[in-house]
Amino acid sequence: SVAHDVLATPGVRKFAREQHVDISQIHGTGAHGKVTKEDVATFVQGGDHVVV
Amino acid sequence: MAQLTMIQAISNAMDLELGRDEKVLLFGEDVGQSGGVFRATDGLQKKYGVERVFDTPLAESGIAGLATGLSIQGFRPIAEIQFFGFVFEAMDEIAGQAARMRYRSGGRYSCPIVYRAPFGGGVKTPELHADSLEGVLAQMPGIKVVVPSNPYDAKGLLISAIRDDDPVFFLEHMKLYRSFRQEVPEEAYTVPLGQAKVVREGKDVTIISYGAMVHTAEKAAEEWAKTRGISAEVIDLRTIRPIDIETIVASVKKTHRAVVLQEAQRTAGIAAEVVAQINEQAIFYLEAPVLRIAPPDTIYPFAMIEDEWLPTPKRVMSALEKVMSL
Repeated sequence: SVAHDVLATPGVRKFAREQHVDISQIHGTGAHGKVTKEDVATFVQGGDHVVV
Repeated sequence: MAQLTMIQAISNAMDLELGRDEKVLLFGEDVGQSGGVFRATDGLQKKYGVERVFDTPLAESGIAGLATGLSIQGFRPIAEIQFFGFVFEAMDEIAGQAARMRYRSGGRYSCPIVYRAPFGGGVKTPELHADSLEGVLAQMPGIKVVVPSNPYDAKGLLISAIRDDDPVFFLEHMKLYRSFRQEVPEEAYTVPLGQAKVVREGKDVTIISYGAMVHTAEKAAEEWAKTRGISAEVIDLRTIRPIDIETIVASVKKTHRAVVLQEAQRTAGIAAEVVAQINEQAIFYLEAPVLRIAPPDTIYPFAMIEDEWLPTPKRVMSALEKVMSL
């Protein structure tokens, strides 16, 4: 399940679900550590596995 | 402790407050000698006398105006509107006068009034008896609106309401009056106004509700857990103005999904306000849109079709399925 303190808009969350990605594994680069759509895309391409 | 119905708990709260504070008065249509159309005030006139518990002429605007006048003279009136559907007659006195008194007089006067009114569907009442008009009052600054869902809360919230120094509208759902009993302490106690309660813990979705729909939500959550193995958290708002947004946000941060269930029509009630506040305060935690479960935007239906019109556990479950799949 998704970690409690992951910040992301519903659109990004849905995008992550569609990519079969656990959003809590993604390092957010947006304001206040928010996970952006680009962060999800980067993660899917294998770019960034940092768990924060 | 005693096993009380909600109507007995309400009656007990008024009895205790009439006994505690001689400034507390109780009046309305047929609340005195006859004991009220639902027996809520049964025996109270005999116990406290006609100067404390009395009948009024059949005029809601007059009843509410009497409450305003008495309250600025230092009394603490409990004014009964026989059915909530008749509140329209009294709207100026409630919303245009009493709710504004403290502000308008710069704090020189206040109106410590409790308006009680039965409402709610499922018992095949005639026209304009069951209507859920709480949304109309919930838009009025200066007034609190309380909707208990069980005997324990009803007693504690009503005592809080009577002791509150500003107007409180206390809404009593007719279907809940005698539908079940609950352990209720014999002594006076308070349940704080403006505080919601998590009545069922869950982790996958939050159902926010109030009044009789709390029980519909609990039934749906129970059935859903059994058949689907998914757990819903149920929040009983108890007070719908002000809304306890902290309890709601804490739950949404945990579950990431929510639905709001009300008995009032879709654009009435307070579901839209709850959704708006979640959007403002917890959008970054949401996996899916917050859905509303409510009857269609029609006049409250004729008695023979109200079971089709009112939200059912089945309808709640299909909304839960939808919010989980979005």
